[in-house]
Amino acid sequence: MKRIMVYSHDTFGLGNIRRMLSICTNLLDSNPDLLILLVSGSPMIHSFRIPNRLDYIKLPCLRRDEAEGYSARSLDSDINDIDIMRLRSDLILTAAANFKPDLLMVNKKPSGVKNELQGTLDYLKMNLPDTKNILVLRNILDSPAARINVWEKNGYYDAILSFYDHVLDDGCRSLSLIQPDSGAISKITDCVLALLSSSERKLEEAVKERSLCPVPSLNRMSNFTKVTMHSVHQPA
Amino acid sequence: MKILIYSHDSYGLGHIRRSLSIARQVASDFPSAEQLLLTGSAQAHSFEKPDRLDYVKFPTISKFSAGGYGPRSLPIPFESLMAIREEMIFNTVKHFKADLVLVDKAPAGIRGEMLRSLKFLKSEYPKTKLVLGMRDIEDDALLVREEWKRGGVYPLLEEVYDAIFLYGSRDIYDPVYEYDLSPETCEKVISCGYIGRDTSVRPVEQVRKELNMKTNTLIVVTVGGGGDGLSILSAYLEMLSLLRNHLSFDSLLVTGPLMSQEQRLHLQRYDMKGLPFTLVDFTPDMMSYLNAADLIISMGGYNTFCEILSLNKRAIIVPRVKPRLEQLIRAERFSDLGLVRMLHPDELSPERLWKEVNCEMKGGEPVRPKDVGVDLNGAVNVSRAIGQLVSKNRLPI
Repeated sequence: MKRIMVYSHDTFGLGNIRRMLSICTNLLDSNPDLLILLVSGSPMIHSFRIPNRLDYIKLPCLRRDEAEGYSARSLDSDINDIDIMRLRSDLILTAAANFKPDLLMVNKKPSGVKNELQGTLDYLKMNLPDTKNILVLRNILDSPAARINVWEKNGYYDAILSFYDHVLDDGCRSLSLIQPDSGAISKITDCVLALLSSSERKLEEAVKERSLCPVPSLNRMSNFTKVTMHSVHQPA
Repeated sequence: MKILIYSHDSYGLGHIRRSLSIARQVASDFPSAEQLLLTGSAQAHSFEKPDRLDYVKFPTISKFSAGGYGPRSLPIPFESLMAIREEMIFNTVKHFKADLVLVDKAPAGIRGEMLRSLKFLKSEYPKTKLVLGMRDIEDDALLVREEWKRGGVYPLLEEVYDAIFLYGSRDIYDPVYEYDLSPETCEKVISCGYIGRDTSVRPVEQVRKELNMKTNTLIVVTVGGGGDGLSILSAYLEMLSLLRNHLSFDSLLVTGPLMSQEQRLHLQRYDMKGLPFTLVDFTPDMMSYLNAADLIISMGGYNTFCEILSLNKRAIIVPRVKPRLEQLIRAERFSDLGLVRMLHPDELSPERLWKEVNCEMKGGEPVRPKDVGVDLNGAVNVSRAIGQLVSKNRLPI
């Protein structure tokens, strides 16, 4: 059995968790030898049908306040000296260290909310170097300039270079598209399965259609960042 | 005030419901309370949560009917799964720095998963109050004693826990005597009474109209989650078909969400054409239907009892008798008090059920719980006890 751990930070809204669960369901349906542990902060995770061979961990919830800062959603951390971010960060690390995933799939934020994934990424690099790390991105976020700023400020480019084997585009080209199309999902599945079987040939096949699923190898990182930024505003 | 609640939740909905009833009361009594629920339940969402409560869910385990536990939906070695849970609990305990930790039912947690956290708190945060929440009845007393000896529970109660909240009454079933608790442990037991249910329900007329009743009398048959309720529902349906032309009452049967599809189909095989009854899988508003009933037929789980007693309804209890004797003991004690009528599942037949129903229907007003010493203010009492335990920390010694 191959083990996949999925991280989806999920502050509010249903979009992220729904997308990640669609990808998980497709993965499980395509291969009976996969197990998935989903780590999420979504207060809505229960609203979805949870497939077999998948269990989930729910972290204390965060909400996004105006300044893009995050704070505890239900618990009042200021008054009571509860370090929600450290708790979340430790819970994620605990899950990774004990579950020992063959592949870690991260949604959107390369280092997680407020870097909460950093400890886990460091741990995997040190202790489980064979674990493949992939980042799944939506191709629509903000305006390219704003996005590049945020990414530079948060060190996302460095994080991708240091920790990620591949970056996948989930195929959502338009803000109105909540679900990735089935083509993109099956591309992601193909890429993940190819990575898990360590087959270069399969991987190449899987990523051939770059418009749906650009998977830059590390040495093409600089190329990738530009490509992705541009494709954001190209009509689908 | 920070409160951490641990509820292991392997099977059924009972534990999480009880824990949330308490949490709701605490939230309304103490506006400053911050509560974090640690649970293995995938159902934590199904229930209304109070403000300033969040939950952490760790991987879910299942209890097998043969006894023993295993992963529920993530088939990895059980040890790895338990390692994740144990460490997640520990992380949470360490960062949350609770004023009080309430452990539901399992003193050491499932497979001892709470032990490391309890010991850590005892040595690093000695001011944190450690409380065990104990249901009125666990199982056959001798079995519990053996299990507790084997599991090292007695030293935990004596040396680690600061208090034991009994969600029951020592007059009805005394754990100090039954489970042979030491004098030191006995001093820690706080009888909180049964965790009664909120009785705000829809008007009886409205519910009865909705059921399209043909008579003036309603019997509600409920088997809780429904995992093992088939025999009761089958016997009841056979009883209805035997009485076919003489039915003077309407019936509502609730199979519960955990009944298998096969069993549901089995129930539909009975020829019930034209009979005044309704069969449903589940209703989120069970209290309104129970309240509209003249008689309830049910199993003997803790929550079901609390519902019946809170509504002060006539009831025939057919308790579960395996793998644990908890329901049987509870049904016997409450039947001795005259609050319910008990029918042992071994004696269950359509004829016998009719005899019991007939007797119950002819009875007068049901006995009132408070007249026989049954306190249903458990949640209020627990909340008060939590307040007292925590405030002791803040007063100069």
